[in-house]
Amino acid sequence: MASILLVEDDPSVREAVGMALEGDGHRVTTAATGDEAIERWRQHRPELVLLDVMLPGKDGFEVCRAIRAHDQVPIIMLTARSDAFDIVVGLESGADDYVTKPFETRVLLARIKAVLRRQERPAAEPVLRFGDLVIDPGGMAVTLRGVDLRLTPTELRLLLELARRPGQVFTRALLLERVWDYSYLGDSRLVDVCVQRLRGKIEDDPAHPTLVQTVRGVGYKLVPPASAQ
Amino acid sequence: MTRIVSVSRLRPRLVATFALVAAFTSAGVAVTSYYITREAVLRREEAAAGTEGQAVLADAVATLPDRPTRAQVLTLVERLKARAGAEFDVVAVNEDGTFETTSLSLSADSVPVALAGAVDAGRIGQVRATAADEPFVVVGGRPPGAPAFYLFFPLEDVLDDLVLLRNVLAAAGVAAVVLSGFVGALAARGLLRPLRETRNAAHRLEVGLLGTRLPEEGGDEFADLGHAFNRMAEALEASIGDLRALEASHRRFVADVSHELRTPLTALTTAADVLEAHRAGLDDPGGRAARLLVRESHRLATLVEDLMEISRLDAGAAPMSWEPVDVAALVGSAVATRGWSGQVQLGTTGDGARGVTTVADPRRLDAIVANLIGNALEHGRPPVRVLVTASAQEVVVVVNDAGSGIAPDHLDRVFDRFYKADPARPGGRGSGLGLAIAKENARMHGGDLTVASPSGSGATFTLRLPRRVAEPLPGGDPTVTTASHDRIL
Repeated sequence: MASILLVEDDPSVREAVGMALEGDGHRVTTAATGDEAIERWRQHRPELVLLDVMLPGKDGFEVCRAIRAHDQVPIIMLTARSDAFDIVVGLESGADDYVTKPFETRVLLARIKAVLRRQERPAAEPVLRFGDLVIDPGGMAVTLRGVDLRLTPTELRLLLELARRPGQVFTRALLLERVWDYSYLGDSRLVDVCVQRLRGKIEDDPAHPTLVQTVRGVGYKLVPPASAQ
Repeated sequence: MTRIVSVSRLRPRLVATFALVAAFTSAGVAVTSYYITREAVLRREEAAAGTEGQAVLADAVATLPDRPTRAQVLTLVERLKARAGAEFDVVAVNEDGTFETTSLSLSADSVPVALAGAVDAGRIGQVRATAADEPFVVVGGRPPGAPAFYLFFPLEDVLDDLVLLRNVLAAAGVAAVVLSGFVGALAARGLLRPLRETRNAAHRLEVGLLGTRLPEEGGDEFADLGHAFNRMAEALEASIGDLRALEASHRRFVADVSHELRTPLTALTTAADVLEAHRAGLDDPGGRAARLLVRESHRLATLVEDLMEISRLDAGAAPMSWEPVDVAALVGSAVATRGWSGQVQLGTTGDGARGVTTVADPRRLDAIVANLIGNALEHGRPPVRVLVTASAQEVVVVVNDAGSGIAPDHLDRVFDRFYKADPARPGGRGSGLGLAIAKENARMHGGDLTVASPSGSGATFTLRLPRRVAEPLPGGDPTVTTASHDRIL
């Protein structure tokens, strides 16, 4: 399965979640504070990080940003509050998904599985070009004017989903299902925040996106630049 | 709100009262002073006429011989006429009824009968009388052997003056009435302004503006009223403030408690799930205990989750995430993801058959639908039917079961928190908050959730949502909306 870094300050939660993860076949490293989390991440380079928001010292958001600055490892936030603020800030810090406490173990494991699946290389697909933007699904790489954009697996999957059918409007529910493996129970803010992050990387002016456009009241679509067609 | 009628009627009443008092007073004063003046003036005129007339007569008589000839009488009449001038007229009546007069309008017939009698009896008399339609003081006397002389002193000028006085008094009375009516209106305004202010302040208090106060300037009764009103408002504000603070602190407490419970609950449910995975290896008392532990820890988690949710709803801190939703598809998905497909009959009619799309918060809608179906499965009897219908105005989701329904006594209270229709029956997996949350969620959509349970058929829950079109989305761009809206809360 995968190597997971579990960052959680409460020892009981850490132990119980650790047990559940190991029971599902994962290898678990734990950390109790933000600083320890960054230290462990450097040492072990895990394949996935489960990150509690409320941590002594550096909080979960800071840890998330610190890791994101160097690594596109999937991050799932564990938040004790379903407060919208925590969730949006967490997602904006670069988290791929979130789970609110108390969570059901099967839900957590399913989220982990879904995030890891996004890591897998898609079957060989032709390289897609939209103007200066080049998407190589097989290589899991996206470049803009030759510069590697370092998309997270979730951002890449989202872009690929939109790019495979340029011009088609995707509802957020559909994107949640295709990219996040969610049914109707998913949080559409995952899509909104991820689109914002994606625009921040691929758009020349993220405030006035030309490539990934919002279709008011419906969802999103990718509009190829006229020169590319 | 009760209308305060007296405020709108007080002004005419006050004006009328002022005017009426002024009318009575000025009428009384005018009539009294008119008649006193008239009597005094007439008396004085009469006295003056009498004095002068008697003097004239005495003088005349003195010049007449004992048995005057007709020529002498005529001379006297002429002399009297000459002396009379504008002051009076003379009528001399002979014994044979013929007469001499200085005025065309006066004759022997003009002489008042009573006076004629007195004069015939040999006295000098005077009387006030009307002759030829004009008022006079008539002085009469008869010298021996001479005709009877009657001197007519006209009163017309004096009476004209009295008429003038009367008119002036009447005009003054009318002016006094008008003026006091005006003063009444002014007084009413002065009186009504604080009344109206008090009424408006009471109304502002009524609608919840608890900071409303009245001015307390001056030392009059209205300042007193203002003071009393303000003391009442302060007391009201203070006690409502206390109640609100208490309520807020209760809510905060519930939210805090639920929040604090989350961490240990996470450890508990996760450990229980691990235990559940290994239950097969446990012998029976341990295995049964493990099953109980797993089930109850998840029930506790649901309860805490629901408490958190209802605290958020109470605090108004539950943001809506609006997006277009295919309601029939959502219901289908809610049933399928929970593994209820075999137990629930889904139906659509009307627009529902073509896919009902409205703008809603899909997660809240899913929670409502799942709660209703879950309840029907747990407390009712199959078949559980879910019907989605729609019109241009609203989307309706009806969930009913074939159970024994809900007794009428309980029907009103099923949406109450922790209300259990049958206290003897164990609560099942529910938190007792599910329907309360579902109803709040329906309201957050601008809709409503109701229940009916006709005898003989199961309970029917009806969710009504106003149908919203996708364009324009409340709040505009979904990306911007969700992020910025949530940040505020």
